[in-house]
This record gives sequence, C-alpha cells and structure tokens, in this order.
Amino acid sequence: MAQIIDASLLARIDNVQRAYTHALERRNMEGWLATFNNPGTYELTTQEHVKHNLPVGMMLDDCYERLQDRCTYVNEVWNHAVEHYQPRYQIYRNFCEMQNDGTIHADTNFTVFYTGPDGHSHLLVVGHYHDNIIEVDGELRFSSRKAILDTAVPPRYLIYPV
Amino acid sequence: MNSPISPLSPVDLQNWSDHTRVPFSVYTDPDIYRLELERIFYGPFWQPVALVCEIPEIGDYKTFFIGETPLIVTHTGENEFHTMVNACSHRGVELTNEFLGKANDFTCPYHGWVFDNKGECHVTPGEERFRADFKKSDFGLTQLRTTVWSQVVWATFDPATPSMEEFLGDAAPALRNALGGGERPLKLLGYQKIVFNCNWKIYMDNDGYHAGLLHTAFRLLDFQGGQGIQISGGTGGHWGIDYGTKPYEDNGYLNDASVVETRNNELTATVNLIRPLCQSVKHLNSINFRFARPLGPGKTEVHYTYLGFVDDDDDIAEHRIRQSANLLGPSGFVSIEDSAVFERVQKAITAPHNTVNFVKGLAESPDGKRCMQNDEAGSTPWWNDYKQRMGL
Repeated sequence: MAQIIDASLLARIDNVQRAYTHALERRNMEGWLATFNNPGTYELTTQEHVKHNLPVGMMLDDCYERLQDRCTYVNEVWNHAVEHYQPRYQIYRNFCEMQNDGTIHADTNFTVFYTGPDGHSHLLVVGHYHDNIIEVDGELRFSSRKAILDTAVPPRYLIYPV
Repeated sequence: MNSPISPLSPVDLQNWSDHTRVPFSVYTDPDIYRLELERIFYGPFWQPVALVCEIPEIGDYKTFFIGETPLIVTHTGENEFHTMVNACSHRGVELTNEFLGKANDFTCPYHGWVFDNKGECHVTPGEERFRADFKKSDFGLTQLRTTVWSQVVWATFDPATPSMEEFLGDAAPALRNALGGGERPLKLLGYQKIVFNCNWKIYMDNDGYHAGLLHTAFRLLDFQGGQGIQISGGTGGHWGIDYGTKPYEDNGYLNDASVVETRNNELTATVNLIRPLCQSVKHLNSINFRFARPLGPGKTEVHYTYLGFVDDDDDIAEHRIRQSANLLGPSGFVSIEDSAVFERVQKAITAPHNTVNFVKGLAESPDGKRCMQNDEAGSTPWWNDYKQRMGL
C-alpha cells in the first residue's frame, strides 16, 4: 500500500471523480452508472452509522443490478412526482493509495449545495467518499463507493445519489 | 378550556365549524403551534422516546425530544427506564449532546453538577456557599412518566395521561403486530433521518392511508400490496391498518427484485399512526418505527428507525438490511412520493379561506372509526379530538 504521487494517475483519478459529480449535476443517471465497474457497489450512509456500526443507511446498492435500478427509480418511477433540485458539488481529494492488488483506495471530501424549483439555494450535505477504484479496459471505475455523510439529518429528501 | 381565538386570529380559525374541513391556517399559524406544544405535546399523550433495542444494556442512553423539549432516556435496570429533561437543574445547560451513548452519570459542563442516570443530583461544587436551605435532593432532573409497551419506551409530561392500553385503545393490535407481536426481541439496524419541510400534521395527514393511490412503484410492479381496514381508537384518534400482503410476482421491471420480495412467509403488514406524532410500518420484511418532532410550524424532523429481530437467521437478517435501506424511507423506491407530497401541500396552504378536506369514506363511516385502507375518514376522529382539545 503506497501513497500515489504520480501526477498523471492522480489526474485520471480526479477525472473519474469529476465524471461522477458532473453526471449527477446534469441528472444523467446513465453517466453516473458508467463510473461504476460491473460488479460495483454504492452506499450512502452517515458518520453516525459508522460510529455505531449500523448497517441500514440512506441508500444501499450492493450489486450492479441495484445500481441499474437506481437509474430506473430516478428516470422513470419518481420523475413525475418529486420536486427535482439542482445539485452542485465541491470535492477535494484527501488521499489516494495504491493497494497491493493494484486497486486504488481513495478518500475524497464533498460538499453538496442544492437549488430548488423556487430558485433558493441551500447546503444539502457534507461528507466524504471512501472509494475503491479499478482499471478496466484502460479506464478507471469505482468498484465500490461509500459516501459517508457528516450530515445526520439532511434538510430535504434526497432524490439522487450523492 | 380557554379559547385561543382572538380578534387577531386568522378569520378561518374564528369560523372553523366542521372538523372534516380543516382551515389552512391550522397548519401554518405560529400561535396555534405554541398552543399545540402546551395542549398536545406536553398534554395527555404517551409519546415514544426510544426503542429498547436502541438502549439495550443497563447504562445505555439516548437523547431525543418531545415537542421542543430535549430529553435523556436512560436504561437503569431490568426493564427499568427513565426519561428526564436534558437540562441541568442549576442553570439549564444541556447535559449531553450524544444521540446514543453509555453513562452512569452526567456532569454539567458549566458548574460541574453531577446527576446519576436516574436524574438524582449527587455533586454540587461550591455548595458551602449556597443558600442555607439548599438540598441536593430538591435539584434532581425533571422527570417524565415513563413506561415500556411492546419494546417501545414511552414518556409523557402529563400526570393525567391514561394507561397505555386506554391510550392506544383499538389501535393497539396493529401497532403490536408492526413490532413483531411485542415479545420477539427487536434489533436496531439503522436510521434514515430527514427534515420534511411541512407542518407536523401534514406529515401525519398524508402518510399511511394512500398506498394504492399515490405510489407509482406499486403500479409499475402491478403490486397493490393488499387491502385492509383502518381501525381508529384511543386518545386522539390513533389508527392502524393490519392488511397483509400478497407476495410480489416478478414482472421483470426491476433488475434486482429482492427490494420487494417477501421472505419467510412474513405476510403481516401494518401501518400505524400514533397521535400526536409517530408512525410505524411493517411491510414485506421491512420494519420501521418513525420517531418525529416538530421544528416550528413549518418543519418536521423524522427518524425512520429500521428494525430486525435478534433471532433472525443470516439470510433474513441480510435481506431486511437490503430491503430496509431502499424501500420505504424518505428516499425509498416506493415511498419517496410521500416526501414530495408533504412538501407540496405545505407550499400551497398559505391561501386564506381555504380548507384541507377529508371526504372519502365518510359516507359509510361518518365517525371514521372503521373505514377502508385508502379512505380519508380515518383521519377525522383525530381532527374531531384536535378541534376540541385546542378549543377551536
């Protein structure tokens, strides 16, 4: 396990992070899905759950089929009924490490603001990503992404993954 | 009981006559909200403050609220729990801000007063210079009446609150069923906490009764979930539906249909609204108990608390976790529309001379005590009680 200092690899890691947030900012769920490997997993939980070792957090897509279904939820099932909001991301790389098996372990802070249909903007959530990233066919993808919120009680219901 | 109506009250309140047609201002008026705290939240209602499985060991504690009052709920002995106001009896400082913790005593960070986990005061630094008649025994933490029913710890400020059996009335069986019958030990799996931008009564009016009407997911899956009878009873018009579900037949819409799969033949399904501000739902293999508190007249904080059973085998334990995380919460596959409806109602109820109307089911059930699953009549016993209790 070694800290990654190679600038070109760090730039590629930053790119997959940006592809992820870029997709969510455009409600492009297929673009979101494309940042994951198959098999791949996504979990949204809180620091409170981590502290108390509680398994049920905010969202749990622990197989690729659930990642696909989350796209269906947003695009089809919920689309007509929910009040969509515009999320905006600020992300900051904490560290990236190369594991002995060639996978990358990354930790990245995020802050998400949102703007509602009324045009008012607010802070949505704050936290950090705990990622495992692998290279497939020359591209980096998440094999697992765990978003851990410092925010125990978001100020509105979440429609999209974080 | 004094009427809260003054010449300055919204005209809707001054003219409110029919409890099935609720003026919008009842959901928005700040004076009404202050009176609700006094007459309802601090009145003769048992309110859930913890589940035994959240604080399973002696010495465990949880912090929560009734109304706007911060509380500490402690596990102090075999089936013995205490609920105390989370404020030092000296100068009112919050004693702990941990959501879940373990402590035999609580030390005030301001002047160092120490209270045991039953609320008795034991240490008061500098006591030699206190007034002559000072006695520690006079300065315990403010206690609430506390009881345990069906593995839920309930508390009330009001000495006149009736027994739990009388308080829940005919709504008790469905709630007990939601919690696995009351005897099988529950296990805490996690939380989904959220703020809904709506009045607490909007949250209660608009959940539970409408499963087959609102939720697109049920229609896409060709899965209506069952039929049942709303049974209303007890103090303030709680209601419960014990409806049972048919197992979902996979129509290929989802890639992973386990989110709507029923395992172990657990066909019991119930929805419960416990007044003033609690819900509990058991659907498929997901069990959730929803603690909540008002954050003023326009916001409500809800803690969806997910549960399994201590004796679950590995397969059903994992299934409950996977289903609970994605099915019925504020961002749930089936239930996210609830969240949307709560907030959209709140946005639109500012107009004067308008009412929220409960109409469906009143033809067959004028008193609302027995009605069908998707009827609105089941909410009317509550509104009848509310109107009288508030003196409106």
